[in-house]
Amino acid sequence: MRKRTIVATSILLTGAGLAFWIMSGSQTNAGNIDISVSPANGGDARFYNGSSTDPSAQENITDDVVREYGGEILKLNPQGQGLDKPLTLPSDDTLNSIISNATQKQIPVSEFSDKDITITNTTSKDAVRAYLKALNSAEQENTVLYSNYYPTISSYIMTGDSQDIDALIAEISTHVNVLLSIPVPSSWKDFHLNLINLWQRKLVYTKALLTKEDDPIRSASATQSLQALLDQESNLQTTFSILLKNANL
Amino acid sequence: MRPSTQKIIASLLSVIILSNALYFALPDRASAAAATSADGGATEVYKQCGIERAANWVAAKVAGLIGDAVPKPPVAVNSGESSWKKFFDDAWGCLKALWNVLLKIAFNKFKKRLLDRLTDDVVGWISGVNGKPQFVGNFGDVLKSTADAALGDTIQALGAGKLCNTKLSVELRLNLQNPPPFSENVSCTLSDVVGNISAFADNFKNGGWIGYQELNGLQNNKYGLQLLAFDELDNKTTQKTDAAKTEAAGSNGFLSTKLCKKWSIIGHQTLADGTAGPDIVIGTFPSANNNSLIDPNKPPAKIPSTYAPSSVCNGATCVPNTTNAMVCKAEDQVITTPGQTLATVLGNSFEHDPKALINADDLTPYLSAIFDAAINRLAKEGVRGLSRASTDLFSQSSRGLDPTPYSTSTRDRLYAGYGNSLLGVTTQTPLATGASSDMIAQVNAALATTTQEIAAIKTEMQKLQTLYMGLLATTTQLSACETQKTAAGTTCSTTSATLTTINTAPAALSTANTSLNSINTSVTDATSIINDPTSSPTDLLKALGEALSAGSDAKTTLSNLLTVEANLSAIDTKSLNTQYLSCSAILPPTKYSCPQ
Repeated sequence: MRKRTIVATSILLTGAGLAFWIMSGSQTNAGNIDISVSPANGGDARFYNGSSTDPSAQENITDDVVREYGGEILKLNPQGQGLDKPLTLPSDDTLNSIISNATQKQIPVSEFSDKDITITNTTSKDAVRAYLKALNSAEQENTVLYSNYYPTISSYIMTGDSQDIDALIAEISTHVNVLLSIPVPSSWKDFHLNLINLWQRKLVYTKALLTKEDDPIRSASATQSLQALLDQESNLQTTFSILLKNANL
Repeated sequence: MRPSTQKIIASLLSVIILSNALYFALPDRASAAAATSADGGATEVYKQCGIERAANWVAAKVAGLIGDAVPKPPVAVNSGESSWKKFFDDAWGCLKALWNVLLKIAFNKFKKRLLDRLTDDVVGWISGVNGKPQFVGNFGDVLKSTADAALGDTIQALGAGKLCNTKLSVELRLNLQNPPPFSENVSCTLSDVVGNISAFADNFKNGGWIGYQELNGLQNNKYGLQLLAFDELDNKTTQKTDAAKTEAAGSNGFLSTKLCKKWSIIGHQTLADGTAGPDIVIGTFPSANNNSLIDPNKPPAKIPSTYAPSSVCNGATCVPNTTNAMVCKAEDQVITTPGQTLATVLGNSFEHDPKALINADDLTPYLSAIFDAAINRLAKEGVRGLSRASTDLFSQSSRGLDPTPYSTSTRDRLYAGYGNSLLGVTTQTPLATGASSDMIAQVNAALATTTQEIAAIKTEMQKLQTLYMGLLATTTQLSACETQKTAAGTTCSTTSATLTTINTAPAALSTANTSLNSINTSVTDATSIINDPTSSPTDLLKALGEALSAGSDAKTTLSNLLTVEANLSAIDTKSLNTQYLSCSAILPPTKYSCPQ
């Protein structure tokens, strides 16, 4: 009898454990579903590692501007003005300030860190050469990024046809993932991470351009962020040259 | 807005103003005219963003350092700093041009969005404030609540009156709240009467005959008082329901917004004998336009200390009620937004023609367009109500529901392309009415050019006609002379060639005339489209197409005319005249010799 009780209890515990395991596994699978967002649909390369996007990315900056401006109208007319007086409206300067302020908002980017890349301890010339070879190969596989980026985004903004820009976003997303997969010598780690995050930002800002219809102020803000990215790319080139020189290949 | 948020915004604004000042003080790396050109910046953007293939700087720098296995870079490798600098400047210029265009789109969309948001909030406000609809959804309920309010007022009035018998008053209040069925009223029996008389006799001891006589007055006996009370209740109910009916009927079913001018403090009486008396008004205080006090449906949480009521009323002890301590009586409420205005505004919100707004380039006229329209009437009258009704106005529906995402509503789908019209984008969704002033400007510019070309064509046609006629006369005479006086009896080859050249003029003039008619038709069509206030952007695009096509035809026609004219002008008229003089001077039997 005692044996039967033990067996029965064991079966129950096993069942409960199994149920818990299945449920945990289901959650993991659900996470994987999120991860495998199709790049063709503008999937963020950040999803590759299963990280969630920043909730504030969903914030509609244009709506914020409208809300703030509407708030200014109410602020200026707290009691209403009655039938015989016109409403007091905010000045153009107020609107310009609100829009200016809104466009200065940084578009949030989930950046990669050391744990997202493979860092090798060796800093030998061969290791650096292998890294550079892989990097060069990755860069060359995505030549369209160099040749068509600006014509593509400008074409989208001027015509609204998103086919090319969608393909471009997919390609950047792939490129980020390729860069993430390249093992990097520890001495080149910071450069590599900065390079990946540069492309990650480019990906997020390019996707932000797609909000032209729904959130045009975010799109405008994205062009400013892309301008800042040019400076960052310039700096990264300098770093690359210095590292290359120090590597003495 | 919280003070901390205000501080943050103020700091941000300071930084922005400073950075903007610096930014504008520095040389502009892109064309500043990108967004102000006639085509909305499109040409500038395409010019700025048609960037040459950039150097792959990784490939450029590692080439030769990583062994033979490196494939030949498919991109132009140029390690020179000047190559990158050029690309950098071009890319910067492209982004600046795109920024200008997007800002222009954003500004136009902002105007539309502002109107949408305002309309949404107005409709939301009308639909329900704090779960209480402004629209009369169930008229019976409204009348019932009106009657309830009348009952409350009557009870309050009775409570406040100096009744001879407080017990009667209390009983009466109970009766009023639970009126007996009509059948009971008419089935009063003798025993009831006797019973009542018995009860009356109790009072008779104290009142004596004088009291008895006094009790004959309706106001001083139970039944008379009840009659008076029911009469009063009936009057008040009738008045209020009639007022509600009139108000609702006159405003297409919308209720008006009411503000409370004065709050009544309701107190509980403790009579001299220790028993509880009826609730009465023991004090009042004005709302003084205080936002937190003006909603008649929202009694203040506590009595303002400056209006603390007396603790003695009608000779009894009074304390404010712990619940329902304050009421805003109907007579202390004022109508701020007539229901009719709400109805009108709602109608206008739905029917509002965005045409004026689309054509407004600056925000000021746009806002004027909004606020001069019917919606302004509500805004003016109802901002108080709006600001009271929803603290997060412009953030979400006043009904407390999540707003429909902007991009998913039907209206917004219809206007998805709004704002692109300035760019002359062909993928925009046509609007029912309204045409961009920029597009009209583009058509006008095209028409102006075409009109100049038409004038030039006419001038050249005139010139060619004159030239042709002059040359034709001389050459025909020469040809006739040559046919008559040469040995072969034919026109000389040079003269034939000249005649062939000259005879291209009639064909050119005929073609030009046909083209001119066609161009004129296109110009007339385009002009009528831009002069028609109902023209849609699609019509404008058609007009622009016609104007541009007409301009192109005019250019071709003019070019053809000039070519023919040049050919005719190249004919040496002096030589023709000399030849003719030579030919005509020849006398038989000498034969005229054709020039070599």
